[in-house]
Amino acid sequence: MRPISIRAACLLFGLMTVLFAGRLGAQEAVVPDLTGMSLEDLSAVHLSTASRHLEDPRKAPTPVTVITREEIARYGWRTLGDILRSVTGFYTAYDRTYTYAGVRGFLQSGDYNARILLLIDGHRTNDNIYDSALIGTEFPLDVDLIDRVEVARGPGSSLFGTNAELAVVNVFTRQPDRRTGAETTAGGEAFAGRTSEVRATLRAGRFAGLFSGSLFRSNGAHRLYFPEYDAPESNNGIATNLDGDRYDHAFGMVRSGQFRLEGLLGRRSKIVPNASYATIFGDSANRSIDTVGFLDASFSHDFSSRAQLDVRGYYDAYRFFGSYPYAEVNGAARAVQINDAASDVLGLEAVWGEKLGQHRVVGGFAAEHSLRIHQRNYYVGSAPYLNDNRTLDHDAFFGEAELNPSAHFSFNAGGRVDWYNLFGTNLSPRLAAMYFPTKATSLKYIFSHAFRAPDPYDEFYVDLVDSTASTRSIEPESINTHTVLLEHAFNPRLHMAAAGFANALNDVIKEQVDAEGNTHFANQAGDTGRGAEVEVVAEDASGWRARSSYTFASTRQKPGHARVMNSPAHLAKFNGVASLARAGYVGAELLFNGPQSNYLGQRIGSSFLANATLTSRPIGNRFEISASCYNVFDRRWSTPTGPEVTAPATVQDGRTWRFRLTYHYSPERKSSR
Amino acid sequence: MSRAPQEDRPAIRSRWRAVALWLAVLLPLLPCRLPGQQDERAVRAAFVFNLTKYVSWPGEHRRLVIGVVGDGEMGAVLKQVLDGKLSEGRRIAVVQHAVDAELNECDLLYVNNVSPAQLRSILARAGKRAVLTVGDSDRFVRAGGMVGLIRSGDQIEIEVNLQELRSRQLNMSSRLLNLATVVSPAEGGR
Repeated sequence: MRPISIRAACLLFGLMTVLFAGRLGAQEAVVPDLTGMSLEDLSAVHLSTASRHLEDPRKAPTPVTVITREEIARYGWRTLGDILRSVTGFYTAYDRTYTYAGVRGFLQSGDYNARILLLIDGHRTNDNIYDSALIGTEFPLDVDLIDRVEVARGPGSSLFGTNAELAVVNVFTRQPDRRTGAETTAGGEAFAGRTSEVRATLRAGRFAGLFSGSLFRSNGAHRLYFPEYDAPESNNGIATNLDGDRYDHAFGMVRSGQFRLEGLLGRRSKIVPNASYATIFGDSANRSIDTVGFLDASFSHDFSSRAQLDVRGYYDAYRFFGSYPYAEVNGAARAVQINDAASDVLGLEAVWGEKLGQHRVVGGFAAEHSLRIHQRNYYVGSAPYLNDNRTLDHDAFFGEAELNPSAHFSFNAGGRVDWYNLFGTNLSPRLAAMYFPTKATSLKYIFSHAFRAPDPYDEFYVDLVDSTASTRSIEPESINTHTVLLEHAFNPRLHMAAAGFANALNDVIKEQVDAEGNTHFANQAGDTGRGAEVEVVAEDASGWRARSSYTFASTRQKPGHARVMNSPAHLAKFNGVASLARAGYVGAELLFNGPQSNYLGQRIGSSFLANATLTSRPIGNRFEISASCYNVFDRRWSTPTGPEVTAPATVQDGRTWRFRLTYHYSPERKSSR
Repeated sequence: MSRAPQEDRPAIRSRWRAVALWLAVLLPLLPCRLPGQQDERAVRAAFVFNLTKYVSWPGEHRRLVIGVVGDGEMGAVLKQVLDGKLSEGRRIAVVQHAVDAELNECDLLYVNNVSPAQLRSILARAGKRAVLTVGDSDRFVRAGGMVGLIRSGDQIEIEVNLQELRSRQLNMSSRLLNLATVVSPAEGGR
């Protein structure tokens, strides 16, 4: 018998697939029976605005962790950074100015989480100058306004474009409540930290609005000791009252049916206590102020139950103000350098999603035009030595097809083409093959290529005189990721996920120091990372819930094979909530980070952190109380710093606490019932 | 990338051939049923089931007839999920594509994907009988329907026209009303 050729076999496979797909397309989909759910539960069901991307969570072409509003309250998380460090494969560092997130062994100093894409209700919030994803107190949204956080580990550029190299973090805000009402929260915490928050839902006819305003003020640690500055002329290394942190947030959302108008404004000011960038130690003029705002109007229209169009138009604004006191500048004993930056951007995005039989396709485009990209550096009283003004354009087309030839197989192929006037085009593909041997088990292989476009800070920022500026041309960096993912539900209350991953980061955009000691950014050979992670989630009908994970990551530089900085090989986490009968809940969190090294190759020891939170059940339907203790065992721990900080590591807080009281107000319903 | 030595290539070919053949033969034999998706249609069907529990009709009913009119998919979905189910001791029967004669039998009428003119006609044909009209378009309650299951963002919201309900001697429990937005006649006219 003549053997069949490869070409013929592939042709046959394709033909059978198409025929089979057509046969499936004619079938009625099986709709699950949710009639056992209560009215209240049904009212709370999310139909997921990202449904076109993640129609069925089992078929997500990436590992996804969802953190709910309830978990945020039960574990007493104060910032998005607190939330993220509980997620499998994530870890954070804090240099007492910004919080940085690492994922699966990658956390590069010198940038601001530019390899993580941060979205609020699907709206990109990485700023347009530094690409920074702000996750500490600099995150412009109150944690109490978060309904859930969907964290997709691994690249997501095939749908979302730049920055989605290591993870896509999508923060979904709360929706207006079902009734007009208000709630106010007052909080007190260590370091004289105090919070005031007011949230209100207003309803008028078909319009529903959610409005929120909040203030946070913290004196920070009264005394911080930095041994690197332990000399009489620098107060023996003691920074007194130099850790102040404050933010103001405003948020508003109005919706009517499928139309939504949403806006936020957040301003955060932080005193920098550790004399970063070789500034004068102990000088309170060293501070950073970030202001983030956006206005986003979106409309979703269902052409049928199988076809949907989403359109979004937006305005983004970002301002940065940094002041840096220096000694001995141009003959002056002290001079304050100001870095300020501003961007104003308009954008438009449209996404079409349609189910074709059992298959699904998504397509869309995005266009962005910056009205202003401005960076300026100057010494107070002197002319600017950097005064860079740009207008940048960026367009993109993207598409994804989910092919479901049978109950046991699903294939996902997608890609995105991005065009930047700064450097040209970039293609980001993703391919996934999934096998479902049973309803409870899935095995997935995912290949994805993602990129990070050079941002205006990378391209145009200079320290004083940049001798390389005329010859510099930064290319996008990219990452290739292979992931094998096994997910299994032992029963409805016990789930497990295990993944193996291999990353290759190419042409990494890294901070360079020239012969004069000035910094700029350039592409460098990349890093490689391999590892594995396992996560187990269990819950019990009585209110007990636990999530535990372990991640191993080995991340090496491409030339030399040396370990990269800020990369703990071992991460272990446990989060558990227990119900205290009628009193409330206790939430406990245990976080272990293995040892890692900083940018100088110095070893930073492992850390073990335990946090606990008690939350009451609603008291008289009006009050809720919570009390949290962080670093319960008062263990000393540090996180690595980047080259901008003299200290090799930043000592983190010891045992701290927080109390919160929330009051809910709901006017009596005027009813004609 | 290094190429495989020449003598290994036939082996690789035959391996690929085997994989392709295996897939070509096996794929069509696999079961067709997709795992259940918790989608919007399922949520709507569950809401309708809850309506049958928390709305009371005048008189005694052993059977509860749900009629579906319109071109959308909900007829098939309600038939699949609710037909034959017991609600408060009453057996539910779902009638898809209900025609005039069947409309008179209905206790609950689900209006799915119709034009404004069709909607007016359907509501007129429902007459003054005690039939609970349920729709999923944004304008349903405004147009004179009783209960709207409206998509608002990523959730389903319930809108209720109490005046219409009461005019047909239909009563809605406070548990359901607590979750609903009551549209007054003034709002209904906007």
